[in-house]
Amino acid sequence: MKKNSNIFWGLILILIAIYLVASKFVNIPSFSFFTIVLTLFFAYGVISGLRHGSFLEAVMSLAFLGCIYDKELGITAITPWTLLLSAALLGIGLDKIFKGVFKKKRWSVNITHNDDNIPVHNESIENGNFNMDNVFGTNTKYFAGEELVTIEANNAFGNVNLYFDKAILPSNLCIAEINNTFGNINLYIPKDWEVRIKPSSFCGAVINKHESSTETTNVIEIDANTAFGSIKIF
Amino acid sequence: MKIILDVDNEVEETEVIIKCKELNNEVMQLQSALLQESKREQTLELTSNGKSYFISIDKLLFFETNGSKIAAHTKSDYFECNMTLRDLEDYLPGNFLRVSKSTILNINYVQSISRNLTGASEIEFSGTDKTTYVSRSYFKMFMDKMKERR
Repeated sequence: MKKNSNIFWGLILILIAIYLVASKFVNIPSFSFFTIVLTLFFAYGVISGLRHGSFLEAVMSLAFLGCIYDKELGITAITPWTLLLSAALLGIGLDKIFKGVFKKKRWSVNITHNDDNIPVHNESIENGNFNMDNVFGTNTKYFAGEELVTIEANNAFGNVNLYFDKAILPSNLCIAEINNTFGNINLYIPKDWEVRIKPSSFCGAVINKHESSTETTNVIEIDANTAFGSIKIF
Repeated sequence: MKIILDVDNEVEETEVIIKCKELNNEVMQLQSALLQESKREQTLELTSNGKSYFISIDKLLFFETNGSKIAAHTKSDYFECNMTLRDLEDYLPGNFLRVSKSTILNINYVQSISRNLTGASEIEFSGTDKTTYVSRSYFKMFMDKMKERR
């Protein structure tokens, strides 16, 4: 995957170099350097989204392309916010519908306490399996006293804090899948838990600041996926 | 001795001024008693795992809703609080400020504010990794309060 990414970005740089030279000799429609870089960037987002089965990533990238070329496409009336919001909802809707179709499912929706945007909430815990979807909101979940086996938390354009203090792991193991796009997810994990992370990021960051104590009692395995945002583990 | 009580809802912190002709024993005793009272630690009864704790208000970073309850955070721990956010707003001193529908924070611990794409601004506190968020509608009031303290 890293090799493919290197080839892609290598080709982008070569194409920009060719364009910069060629534009001085041939009459190429004039777009600013910045526009071209952004176009290539979001085109990669469309491909990456489709490849990973993430409609939200693909549709949002398309929406950003729409915002860049709104005059040429004649859609200035709906850019930027109407287009971006519609794209977010469309992407989330498609991800919800096709969640089971793709093996690697991605982003979806939620919110518990939400001040600024559309209140959408989806959160459940059943037999130790916790599910949360969050979009455009700030949401905090405390697992104190709760039994946990698996966690799936999806966030888009929002902020999520998850506190694992005083959570109970019946099998001393918790499997977590954390998906984030254009937002932030912070995980606060007790010092006596061991953290194993499988990070994956596109224009974002998975940051692990967790420091385990010498003797650990529980293990949490985190599949952390982020695009245009951050997942921090403390 | 005359006692004058001036109630003004614009005042943020209670202030006691002693006007006297000379610094005699009576005045010094009064000053000492007032000093002792002002240094008395204000605590809040909080619970965790069924135990009650009396935690100094100065040690609390922020309060936020946790379903039907309120979580009260110190730097390294959190507790449950039986009061509502509205009651806390009335009870807590002036350094605590409502920053969203679900959060009250202690501005004395605010270390940094990051504006982000999501509309809510992330607050980092000194001496801990914990964060909370200021919502857009409370942001201006929060920033005004922070600037007042410079």
